[in-house]
Order: sequence, then structure tokens, then C-alpha cells
Amino acid sequence: MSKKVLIVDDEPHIRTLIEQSLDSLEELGVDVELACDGYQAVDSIVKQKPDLIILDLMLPKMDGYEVCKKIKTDPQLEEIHVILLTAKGQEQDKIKGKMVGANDYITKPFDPDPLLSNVKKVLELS
Amino acid sequence: MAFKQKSTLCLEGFLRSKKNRKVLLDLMQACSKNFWVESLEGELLLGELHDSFLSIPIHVFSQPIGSLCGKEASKEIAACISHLAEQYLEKKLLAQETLGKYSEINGFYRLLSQNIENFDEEKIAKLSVKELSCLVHGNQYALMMLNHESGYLEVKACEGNVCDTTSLQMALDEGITGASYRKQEGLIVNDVPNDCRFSPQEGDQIQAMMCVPVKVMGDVVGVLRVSSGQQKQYTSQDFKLLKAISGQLSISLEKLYLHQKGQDQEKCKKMMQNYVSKDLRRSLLSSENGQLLPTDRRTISVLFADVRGFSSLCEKHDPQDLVNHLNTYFKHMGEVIFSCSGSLDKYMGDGIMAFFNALNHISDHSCRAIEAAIFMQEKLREIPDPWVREHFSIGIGINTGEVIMANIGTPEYYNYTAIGDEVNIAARLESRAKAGQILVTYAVYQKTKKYFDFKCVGSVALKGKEERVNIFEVIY
Repeated sequence: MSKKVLIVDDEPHIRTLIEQSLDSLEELGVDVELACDGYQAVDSIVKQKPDLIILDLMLPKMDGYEVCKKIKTDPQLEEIHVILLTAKGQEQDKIKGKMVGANDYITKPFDPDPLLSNVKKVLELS
Repeated sequence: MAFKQKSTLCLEGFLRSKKNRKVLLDLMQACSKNFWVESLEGELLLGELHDSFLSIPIHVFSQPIGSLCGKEASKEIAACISHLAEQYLEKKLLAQETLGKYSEINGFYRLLSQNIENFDEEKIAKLSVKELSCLVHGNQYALMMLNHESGYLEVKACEGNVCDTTSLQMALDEGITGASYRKQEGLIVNDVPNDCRFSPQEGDQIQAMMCVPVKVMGDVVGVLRVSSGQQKQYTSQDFKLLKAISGQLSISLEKLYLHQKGQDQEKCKKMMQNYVSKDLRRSLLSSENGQLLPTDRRTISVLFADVRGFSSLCEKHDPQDLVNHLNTYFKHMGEVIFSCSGSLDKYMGDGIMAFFNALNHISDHSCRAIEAAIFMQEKLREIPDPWVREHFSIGIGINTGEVIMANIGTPEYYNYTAIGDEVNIAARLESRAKAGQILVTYAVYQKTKKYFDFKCVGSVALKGKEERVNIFEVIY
């Protein structure tokens, strides 16, 4: 079964940049989906059950912490790997992210090579 | 490596995007046209095959990437697909460019944060070369630094196969590296085999190379170099990255050298504390540009103190024990002199020479000198070492007068001290003073008679003086 990645960010250029970082994964059969707010994200997650979510924190309608909390408290979804992506880099944000169950945390401007390596590792791709 | 850019697009890649596929499928639906899309190799990518002989190429910036086929295929639809593909490629290239910049920003941030607390030259060199290898394409990366002892440029850190194929040492006038060092300028060479400056010491099978000098506080200390075995055309963008890394390296090294200099100065200061009196130390450290302390004519008070019968103590007692007792005695006497704003000039065997108003400004220096003398006598009776209390007794002489404060000696060793007749008189008084006595001259008596009690000893002949000198004993 093909692997799925969901990218959630309200800024279209950031969605494009992350999608571009993971461009080589499409050749490996990875499906990349996009969402632009918290509600759309939850909807997509419930329907598609992605293997990995790259989730911005500052989202309209429902912020990234709420989305993450929803996933991690749902037994059917808690196994999904969540990487929080944010412009803030303060320690309390990382702690808050951990408290809602996020698996990893990267700050903007993100380094594309480590992001790709990390995603490949999570999806168990060579 | 900094985010790789792909500047071409194949139709398969374009159609791998669900959005793009949907747009074309919707277009097919809306036009009710029977056409399909094939790759350059004729493989079906989208739509259904029918019998047809029509095939119209799809281009991206004049480059064919596939074809639109079928009875209903039209130039307009092919042009539309071409336009969509071009838009897609432009967006992709822009994203790649931005991601490349993100890589660079993160690389510089990493290097800066790793070097900010780093005071190890080897580590700084390694981190800088490592970061360079992540940001700029190449096979070999090296930081060559000048070894002042050997006079050669030597590899300080390297990445890639440089250590296998490059000499670890190069003369300053050798190779493209040497040229960059001597001219103190960066060089981009994209045809190394045909460059007469190239030296085989710089490595095997090199096609392209960039070098920039590394400067610290205005001096060139080395060269940062990247080279490629492929026919790589290094661009101004690559050169900017190399210069930026070199700039960061320079800042880190400058910080390191200043830190080391600061540590050396601290060490020197600490050692001075052991060998130079506090006031002289303060004067030396405040002198501009390390100049010698100035020769100065001033009126000071001089105090000499000496242990009575010390020579016979030396005969009867173990020298090491005597040293220990003497140091205890000096410690406590020194504390008294400092507490009265005096400066210690020197210890002469068991003798002490101290000034008042020589390295600092005290208006009542004669009083301070007498105060110090009285405290010294009292302190001796309370000194924690019982042996010293039992065996040491001191005679003290004090004079006030004009002296020359000057550097006596040679550039290899100077003693900043007081010279003049008034100093000699103080010394002569001390030699006359019995155990427990404090003798002063008339000049001292005149200035201090309101504050202390005195007994007139009389006028005496002092060695080296033609005229007799009136001396007084301090009653305490």
C-alpha cells in the first residue's frame, strides 16, 4: 500500500515549498496531500489516514496544537507521526508540542535536506 | 549538499501531480474530445488509446516533453497543456531556489551557533570545512593555514578525498592556493588543467577550483579552498557562499585569538601579583601602550625596617625554617603597610623598604608612615607565629623629603624605585634604631608633632653625611 503524507499550512507558498522538498518521494510512490486549515486537516486525516503529517501551528479555524491533540487522543489515529512546523522557536512551544503528543518539531525556515531524511526515515523508505 | 535543483520537466512528472491530472481530465471531459497524452517514448500517460494518426508535440520552453494524440487533438489544447506545464515548472524552480536559500541560511546559522562558544581552533576549522562541503558542490574541501614555524601553508581541516591526493603542506608561492594567499584575493578557476599556476600538490584530477584568503585582524592567516573533479563551472553564487563561510571563519578565529590573548594577560596579571607590589602593578597596568613609568621628582616618606640580630639567627637555625618565619613576618608587615596606604618597594634579606606618596597621592604621608611603623611594632607582638614573636624584633627609620622616582636597571630588568639622599638618610636611621625603636628625622617630626609624641634623641653623625642630623624617637 502506498504511503501518504499530509501537509497542513495556511500559507500556499509554504505548502508548495514543503511539497517541493518531498518531491522525490512521489517517485517512490508516496502520495502527498495538502490542507490549508485545521478543519480541512482533521477531515483529510479521518478520511485518508496518512502515515505522516507535517503540521503548521498557526492555522485558522483550529490551530496545530488542537489538531495534534485530536489525532493523538483518537485510538484510530494516534499512531500517525506528527511533525510540528512553526515560525516560533521558543522552548515553551516545544514543550507544549510534546504535551499534545507531537513526535517532532521543526522551525521555519526549515532545512529541506534534514526534513526529507526525517520523512524518509519515518516512512521507512530507503 | 544544498538543496538540489532540477531544471527540466518530464511529462510523467507533470502528470504525477493529482492536481495536474485532474485539470487535464476535466479539460478532456469539458471538450468531449477524444485525445490522449503520450510521453516522448510513446507511452500512454493520460486518456484512452484510439486509432489515430494525429500527434501534436507538447513543449516546455521549446523543449518537447511528450505529445497530444488522437483525432480530436488540437494545437490549442496542446498549447494549453504546454502552458500549464511551463507554469508548473516555473513554480517548481522558484520553490527549489527558495529551498536552496533555506539550506544556506540554516547552514550559516548552524556554523554560527556551533562556533559561538567554541574556543578550539581545530574544531572551528573542522566545522567550517564541514559546512562548506554541505553548501558548495565539490570533491575536495580544505582549510590551509600558515604555520609560522615552518613557513608553509598546512592543512588544518579537510573533507572529501583531499587528504589522499593533496599534499598536507604547500609553499606560500605554490599553486592557485599560494596565488590566492599572496594576492590576498579570492580566485575562481574553471579550467584548472590549463592554468599555469596550478600545482600537483593541490590534488589529482582537479577540473575546477575556488580559493579565498582567510583574514584575521587584517592579516591573511590561510586559504579556504574547494575543488571539483568534474567540469564544474563554479559561479559567482558558489563564490559568494565560499566567501561567506570564510568570513564567518575569520570572525570565529579572531574571537578565539582575542580570548587567548585575554587569558594570557590574566595569567600574566596573576603572576605579577606574586612578584610585583599592588601599587606598582596598578601603575604598570595603567601606563599607556606599555610605556615605562615616568621619572618623577616628588616628596615622599621612606620607611626602612630591619630585624635585629638576624645574622645570628641565620647561624643558629635551619634556613628553610627561617624562610617560612620570614615570610610570615613579611606577610603581616606588608598588610600593615598597605593598610596605611604605603607601597612596598622591596624586601632586602630581612629588611623592608616602603614608600608613602610614591605610587599614589597621600597628602599626610609622613603621618601614614609613622602610623605604619607603630602598627608594625604592635603587630609583631601579636603575630600568630610564636617563634617570630619570640625571636624577631625590629628597628625602623623614617624620613620625608624630595626624591627621584625612576626606572633603575636595564631593559631586561628594571626596578622602579626612589633615589636620593633622603632615602639614604632613612636607611641610616633604621640602622641606628634599636629593637622596638622608631627613629625619624626633623622633617618628619615637623610635619607630625601635632599627632604623635616624640623624644629628641639629638643630632647625630650619619655615615655619608657631612652635617649632623637631628633625630627623634616616636613614643608609642
